[in-house]
Amino acid sequence: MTELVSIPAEDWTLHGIVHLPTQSSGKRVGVLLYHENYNTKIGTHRLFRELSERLACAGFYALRYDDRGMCDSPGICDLTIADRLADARAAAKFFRVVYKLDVVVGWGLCLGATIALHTSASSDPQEQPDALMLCSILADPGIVSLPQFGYERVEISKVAQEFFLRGNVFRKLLNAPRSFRSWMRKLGVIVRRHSQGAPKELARMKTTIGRVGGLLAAYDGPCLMIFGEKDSYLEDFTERVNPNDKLKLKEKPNPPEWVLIENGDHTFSSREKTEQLFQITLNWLERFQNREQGADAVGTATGNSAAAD
Amino acid sequence: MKVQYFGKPSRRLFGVLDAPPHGARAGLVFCPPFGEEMITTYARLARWSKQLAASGIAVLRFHPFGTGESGGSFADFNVEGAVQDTVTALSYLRDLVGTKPIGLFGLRFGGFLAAQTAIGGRADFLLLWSPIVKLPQYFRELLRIRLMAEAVHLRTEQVTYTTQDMVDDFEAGRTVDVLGYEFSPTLYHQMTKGFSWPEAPNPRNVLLLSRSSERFSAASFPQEWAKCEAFTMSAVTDPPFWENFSSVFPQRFADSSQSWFDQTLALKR
Repeated sequence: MTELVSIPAEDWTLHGIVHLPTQSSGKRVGVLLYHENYNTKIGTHRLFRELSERLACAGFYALRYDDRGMCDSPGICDLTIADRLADARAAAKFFRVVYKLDVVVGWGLCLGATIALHTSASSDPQEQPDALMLCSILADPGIVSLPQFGYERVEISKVAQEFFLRGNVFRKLLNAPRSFRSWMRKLGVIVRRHSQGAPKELARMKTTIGRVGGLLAAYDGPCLMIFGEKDSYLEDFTERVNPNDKLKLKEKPNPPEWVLIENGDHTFSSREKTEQLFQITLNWLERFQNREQGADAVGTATGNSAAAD
Repeated sequence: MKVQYFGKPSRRLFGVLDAPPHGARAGLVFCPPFGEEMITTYARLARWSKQLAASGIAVLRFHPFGTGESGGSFADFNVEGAVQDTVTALSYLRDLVGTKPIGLFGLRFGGFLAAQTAIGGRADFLLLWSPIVKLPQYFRELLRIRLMAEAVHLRTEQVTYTTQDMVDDFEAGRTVDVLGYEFSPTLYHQMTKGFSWPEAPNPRNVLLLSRSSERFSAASFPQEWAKCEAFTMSAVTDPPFWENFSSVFPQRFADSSQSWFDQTLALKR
């Protein structure tokens, strides 16, 4: 069963879908799914939708949402990384408070994993996830310069080269008066993208992603990291972000657990790999839930004995 | 903006209505592209839908059964069902906009879906962006994408499953996994043999926008299309934005469509 929800985030409203558990377990555990880049809450090859359904069947709440002014959320927003982080925090708080959850687990894919990790550093405990599941985490800032992130800086020299060296320049100049309006529009876009927003936002994005290593080193909650064996982000993480365990993750009292999916790609895009990802997620959550309930039982027993003393 | 489920309980569809703040001058149903292209273009088409709503056009974006937020699994998705769902979406929007003109918009496979649904005069106008005209060829390309992905990620000797093997599986009644999407034998049969591009444009008012490199011409369509005076074809220079996730908005597709709404269809603001 699903509920369509509206999540307040600063002056915006986010559209979300909550999957309600079909069976009840002891604690109310919710999994908040953070999608990647310019994606929707459906997820690539419907991954988020299917995972949410599987989580609900296993007794967990699941929330998926669209960022402010994107997809099914109202309004139009030129989304920044700060917006994404604010939305993630708002969603976590909403999920915990409205659904009276005992535990919120952040589950993110690619940039979504980066966002999930950042929420762990929030100053408001209600916004912080109690555990993290980070899949194909985007940890190398250089990657966001790729065109799919949409922040590529327009270089005037490249544009001039394109104009003068491709096609018939004489004909272009001859037709220039007729295509004047079109060229002015293009010129406006080029100048804007060269001089303003995008490069600044790219710098902010890189800074945010550049903090991933430090945040991982500082995070002391339960954490599972999942990578596909064939995902280039795995190499980026192990060779650039954390070469030879530079971050000393293995030495932490509660080191992140690692799972490598054999022959898996960045988004686990085959039924077999998707199923493996679901199983890994569900098994880890079950163990996490058992540990939590075990800790509660110990806490209760200790409390009782202290009271008896 | 109204987000909701509609349709029969056994075939629950998800839809988002972007309604103009001061009454609609027309209605438009967005037919989404197929598979991963639906996901890669989702944010950008949603943005355009909101812009159209602000200009007075009520837009219904919906997810065919088996896709997106609608019921069913992807194995339930097929062309015939998607056409039925588009008819359901069209009549849902018709109830909302009353006697105002109502049209269908489709990108890529969504263009095919829109053209199919329009047969029988169900819509007043048709807007197509780089539509898929030859479905069997498109389906073959989809199957090849899986092989290409495997070639990138696996060692050559591990890529042993060919497009012919996939076809054999379909013919034997088995589903085939294409990058996480479960294609059913029904989908295969309908994509390769069951449906073809409509013989004549119906409705008469059609705008087809494509990238110049796609080389659409009157010869790409059945004769009746070429004879139709209200069938307009135009080339734009936007990149093939459906191929990847990006924030790059198809501005020229959107601008040309808006001009057509304003001038040709006289959907004055």
